[in-house]
Amino acid sequence: MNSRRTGVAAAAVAALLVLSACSGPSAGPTPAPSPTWIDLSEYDAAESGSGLALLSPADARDEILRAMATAPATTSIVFREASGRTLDIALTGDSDRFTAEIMADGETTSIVVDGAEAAVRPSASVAASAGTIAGEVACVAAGDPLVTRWAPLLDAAALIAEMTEDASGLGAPADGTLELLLGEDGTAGALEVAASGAALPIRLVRSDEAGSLEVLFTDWGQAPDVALPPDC
Amino acid sequence: MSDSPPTRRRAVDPSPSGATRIVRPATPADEIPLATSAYAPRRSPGLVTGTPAFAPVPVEEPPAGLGPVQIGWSADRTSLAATSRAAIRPLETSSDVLPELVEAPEKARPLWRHPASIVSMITTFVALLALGAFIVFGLLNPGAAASGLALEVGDDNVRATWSGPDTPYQLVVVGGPGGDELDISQLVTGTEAWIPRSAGLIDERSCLVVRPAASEGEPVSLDADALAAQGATSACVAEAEGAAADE
Repeated sequence: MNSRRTGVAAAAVAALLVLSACSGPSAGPTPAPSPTWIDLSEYDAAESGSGLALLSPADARDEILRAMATAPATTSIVFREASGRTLDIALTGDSDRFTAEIMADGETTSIVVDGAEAAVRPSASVAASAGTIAGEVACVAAGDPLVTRWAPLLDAAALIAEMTEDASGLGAPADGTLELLLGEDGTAGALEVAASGAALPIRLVRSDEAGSLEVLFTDWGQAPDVALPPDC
Repeated sequence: MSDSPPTRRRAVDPSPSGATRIVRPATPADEIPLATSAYAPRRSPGLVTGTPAFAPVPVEEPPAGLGPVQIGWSADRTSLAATSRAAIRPLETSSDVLPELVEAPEKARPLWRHPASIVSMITTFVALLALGAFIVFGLLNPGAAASGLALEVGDDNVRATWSGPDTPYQLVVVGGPGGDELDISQLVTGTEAWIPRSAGLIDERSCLVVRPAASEGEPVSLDADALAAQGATSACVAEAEGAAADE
């Protein structure tokens, strides 16, 4: 009688465990995580645009860099040193294939990079420092100091990455653009980004005691005609 | 009734042994009717010598052996029936008017015949019927399934639409910038979802899997068999962009 009661009690406990899901095989795979960097409930397809404004500044910067990474563009870079010298760069293409015209002190250096190969026609001052002949096309590798000495100015994505490391905030979207504030409360400058569509930069303004930098981006997505000189 | 008291009817019962004899008085003095007295009529004294005052009437005499005539059963209980030939009906009823209730014997009822037990058995039966109905309906309607996921890639967002019953769905981005699997069910409204493109959720290399929320715990897979088993459907952004470019 006693053992029978014990058996009944054990069966009842087992049934309770099964019914209350306190036993049995536990859930196998971990469920897919939800995004933690954005509050999806705030997204309104009609008003929030591409969702960039909902991100934190750091995430927005990542998003901008991701969008830029694959898109060629025409970039105009103007760097004014505090002393008054000006460096003008007209850059067309992406980081792998591009043509660049670099103007400094009234001289022009032309660079064409196609994959691993590059053709540089240096200006007089560049030729003097690099030991090449000014005005003559030098066929070099893309990793040659003749090309890399301008980094990161010849790679728009790298330039933006470097110039927006101190992104501190996001402005309100206006006229289809959104400002990523640089430095504390935007004191260092701002990166204007398209609020609609891909998060591509439109304009970067940044200044500090060394000088000021203004970068204009146009023609996103248009692959340039990059052709090395025939003798390279 | 049989024990009703004797009546005068018995006295006048015309039986051969007790036949009523009508005796006419022989003399005028005898014309005085007999009272119901046990005594013989008194003869008037000799003063009454005139003509007879009454016509001679028959006098009922009790049959021999029954003694003096009695009306009713006792001195204060007379009977009207004494003067008629109808059946004698006593003025009182001898039997009780109300039927006597016989007390039902107390029997110990088995437990299952108690009303509460019967009601609970009926409700149990009804519950079992409902369970059977639910099982049948469940077998007839297998779990909800999403089908035909279509993506529209716009400037700002990717619009995912699919068809299926109005139940909660789980929407998972596979291979997006936010990780191998990313649950963005929060964006689902009904059978569509607008996914912002610049929020680190989805890119050109991502695929989407939609499945009923019931299969949330199962692993996410783009395999056709697994999708079918979960009632899920999938689509990739690249395919949608390619299809849009072809048009």
